[in-house]
Amino acid sequence: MKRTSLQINIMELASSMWLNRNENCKLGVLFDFNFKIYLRMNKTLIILCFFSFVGSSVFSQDTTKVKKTKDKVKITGSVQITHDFYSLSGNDIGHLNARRPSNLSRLILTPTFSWKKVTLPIEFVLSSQATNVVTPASRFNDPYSIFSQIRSFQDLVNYVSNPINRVSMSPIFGKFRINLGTHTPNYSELVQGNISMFGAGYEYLGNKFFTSFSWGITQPSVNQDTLNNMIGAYRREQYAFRVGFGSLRKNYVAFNVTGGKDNMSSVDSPLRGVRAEQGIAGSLQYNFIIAKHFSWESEMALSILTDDLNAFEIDFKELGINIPNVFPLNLSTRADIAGSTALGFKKNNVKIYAKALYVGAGYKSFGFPFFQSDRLELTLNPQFSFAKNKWFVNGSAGTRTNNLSGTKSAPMNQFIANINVNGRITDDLNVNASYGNFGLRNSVINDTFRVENIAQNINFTPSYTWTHEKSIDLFLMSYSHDRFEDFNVLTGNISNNQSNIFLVSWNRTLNNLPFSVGLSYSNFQFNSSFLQLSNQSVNVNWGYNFFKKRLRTNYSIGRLLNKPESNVSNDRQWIASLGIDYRSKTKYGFGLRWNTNNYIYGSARPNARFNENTLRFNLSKQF
Amino acid sequence: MKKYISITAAILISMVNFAQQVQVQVILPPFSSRVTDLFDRSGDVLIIATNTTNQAITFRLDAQLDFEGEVIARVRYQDSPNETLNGLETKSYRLKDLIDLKNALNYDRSFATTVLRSGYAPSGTVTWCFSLLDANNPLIVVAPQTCRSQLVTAFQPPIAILPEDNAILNINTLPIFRWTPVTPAFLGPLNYEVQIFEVLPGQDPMNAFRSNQPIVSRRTQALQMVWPLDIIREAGTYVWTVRAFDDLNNPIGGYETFSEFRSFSFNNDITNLSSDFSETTIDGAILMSFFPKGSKTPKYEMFVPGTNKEAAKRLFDESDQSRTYNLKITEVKNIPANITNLGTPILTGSGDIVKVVTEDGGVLTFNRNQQNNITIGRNSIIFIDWKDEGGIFNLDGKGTKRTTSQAQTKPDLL
Repeated sequence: MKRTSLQINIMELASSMWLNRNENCKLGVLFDFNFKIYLRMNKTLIILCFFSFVGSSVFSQDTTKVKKTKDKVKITGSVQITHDFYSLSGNDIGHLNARRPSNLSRLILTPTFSWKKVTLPIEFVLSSQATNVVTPASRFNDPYSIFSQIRSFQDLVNYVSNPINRVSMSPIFGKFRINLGTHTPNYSELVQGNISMFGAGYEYLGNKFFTSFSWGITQPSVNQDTLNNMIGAYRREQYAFRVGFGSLRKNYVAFNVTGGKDNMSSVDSPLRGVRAEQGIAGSLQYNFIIAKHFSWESEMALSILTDDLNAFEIDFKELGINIPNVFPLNLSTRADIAGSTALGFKKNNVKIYAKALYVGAGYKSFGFPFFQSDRLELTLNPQFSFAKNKWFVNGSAGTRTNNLSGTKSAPMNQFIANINVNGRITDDLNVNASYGNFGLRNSVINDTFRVENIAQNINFTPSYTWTHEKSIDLFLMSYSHDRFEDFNVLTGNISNNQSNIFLVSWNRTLNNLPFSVGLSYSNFQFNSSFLQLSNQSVNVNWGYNFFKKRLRTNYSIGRLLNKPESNVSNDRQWIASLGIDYRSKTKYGFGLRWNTNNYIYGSARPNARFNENTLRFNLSKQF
Repeated sequence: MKKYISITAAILISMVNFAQQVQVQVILPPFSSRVTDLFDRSGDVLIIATNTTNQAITFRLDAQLDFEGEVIARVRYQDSPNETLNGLETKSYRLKDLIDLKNALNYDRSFATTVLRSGYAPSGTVTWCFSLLDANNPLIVVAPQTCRSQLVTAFQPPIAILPEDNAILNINTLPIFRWTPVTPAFLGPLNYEVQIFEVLPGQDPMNAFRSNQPIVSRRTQALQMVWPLDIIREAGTYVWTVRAFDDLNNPIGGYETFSEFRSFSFNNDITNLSSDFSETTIDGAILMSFFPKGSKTPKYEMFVPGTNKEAAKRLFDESDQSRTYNLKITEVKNIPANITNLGTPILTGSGDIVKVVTEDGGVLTFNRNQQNNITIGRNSIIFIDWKDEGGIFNLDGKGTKRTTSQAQTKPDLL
């Protein structure tokens, strides 16, 4: 059963287009086509032409425009075009899904224009596929599906605002910065953080005052398509604002707010099973250096969220509950708080960091869409070095209590502690050791409802470097032991397990030749009452550089024997990789990496086998 | 007086007894403790009424929803429409077909206050009770109160534990993924689905999580999963998450079903950082190149994983200034955007010390002839040993290189 095939000819075509500077295709012509003609063309060709054109356009700027404005405008940055081919073929592999799209093209263009005190960073990261959390896996096998779907300006907005893409321009005028396109306002731990917006905003970062504002789309709309198992999504429009006083490096007080709403008119018909939300969260945040070696930072936040704009309406005032009427309130509306405070100490080689975090059960900020609520965390992180910094110790200990609200029956407590020691015994001998302990339990005594388990892990990794005139040899050994115990009478029998990992490796780098070679062996044993799983692997890798390191090559090959369960014969696996990387004096680059995975199952899946290939190449230019 | 009361009571009792001619069965749909679900799904409560007499009976509904014995909502008699059952007729009613729940339900204040914070009812028993009363006289009970109860509780979805956030794993060993169980203990069969996403160049972990196709998506009933044996491991940065499904393939959890994602990286060998192909294979890192004095060809290169993208970019722009110290940051790869708005780093120092201070207090410090501790942003601590022995750049003065690196997930306050 062959699912896809490698399309080497496309790669060659792309390469030739690249080298011929778009004699085969022109962007202007591309956009002059009407969409019917556009769709008839080979989509692969179109996208590679597009990427190639954009790339070469930038190069043209580099060689002509910059020369003309040599003393005025400086352009730095890079452009990179990547294409990944993936194929999976084999027999009796219904349990496997293609892990990657069969074709994926990406353009990464990051020029920065500088002129006197004005800086203009631009970023284009464009992908040939429209994929996101609401897109089913089946669509991944449709190469360039997005380009056949862009039929209107709104489609284009949806494309560029898709989180897989980034299109941004951020002119900087001294301390003032304007954000246009995709940007990620990152204010604080509780309110606005890791979600990117496609829109506009500004930042001002002064010595005693700072402020920023952003508005944009954080989730493009997707219509529901039950036939293709697409649940769809409403377009989420979000804003964030921050104002603060003081210096972010020292003492400051800031007020942060973020909010947003799902636009229910952004899809053709209401989405079944998808709730439209509207919410706002704000916080007061501060950081103070309270003494010579101490700093203190805290944040107190409040969120109000209507979880379902179509839920039953409630007159809260009639119920005697007064909450700000900032948006439609109904039965799904909730308001809750969160807070964190941290104390840091630093003196010489000693650092200690203590932190407490509380998140109420109903707290939610659109700035952190996957933030888990209803928890209290206490953590302590000490670290220090001694013996002239030859030994370094760091660790952490913390507890986390979930279900403070009592909505999930009994509370659950976690305890996590780990310590890591790194020491340089001699100039040649280095050791690293770590121990980790994770415990979890709820307060239920009944064995069937009892949740209690403990995981422990210990690792020891010494390494030795042997230096001699012609080469450097590095020997490394690592041993890890992991034990997991589950005290629930029902699940304990199947969950209890222990594993051992042993790894030894040797690497040699020649001093006189640009050649290196490495050999490694690893053994992994996993034992539980119902499963004995093992893995043994031997890997060899070597590399050689040509043309004063401008052309670098490396190769690896590995043989693995895997036993997925007890009483079955080994699965046999070959893996290999090839890498080529070339960088010219003029900062052009070409890279290629090929990975192959040949897998023959043992008696656990008789007659099953597959071959999996990933070929990735990139063209790049630094300017 | 007592006599009249007794007579009246006797009449009423006889009327009630006489009127108990409708048998009622109540079937509840599966409730969740999410309050909106509790009321939404109440519309699907099924009431099966059978008229055991030969005469048509017209009735109205009187119902209440209890939580742990306390009334939290009520369908009032006066808001209920008239319904007629012919003699010996059996009819099924869905509650939402009988009444407009949005208008008919009356909420108890204390309950509304309780759930306002979390959106969930506390773990406990909910009970729907239904009475059928004569349409013209609420004192006449057509069918006595019939109740059905159900235990509702919210479940804590799994929490990703290992590999911990920003972990660096050896590519030659199989990692074990571990998470917390659904709590309270789920009595039905549970499947945990682990998904692993590759962070592509130019992406941060969040975008990878939201956008990319998972390269691993496997289900297991256990609380850990070994990296699937038949899937090869490639150097790079990944994010992983886990969620639980019940036997009906419904994800377990309330507002959040996915665990918070964790990122990790596969490196070929952390002590062998001069990988020739790192630029295309190792993400989430900046590449620092060490130059012999007077040479433009890097002698050693070192990747610093998990550093800050914006800071790293700007450091790259400042590379000419660091050449004096034989350290040049030459390449920026796909850095997880844990912190993005750092502002412009400041390059200071002279002689044997050079420092790069970023806006959030992150510090790059290089001390010649001794071990250097380098902190970038809030997430990374890197240790570099190196000495400059004049014309040939040797990290330990013996013509050898010695680089060790360690990522640190601890935020750095100072």
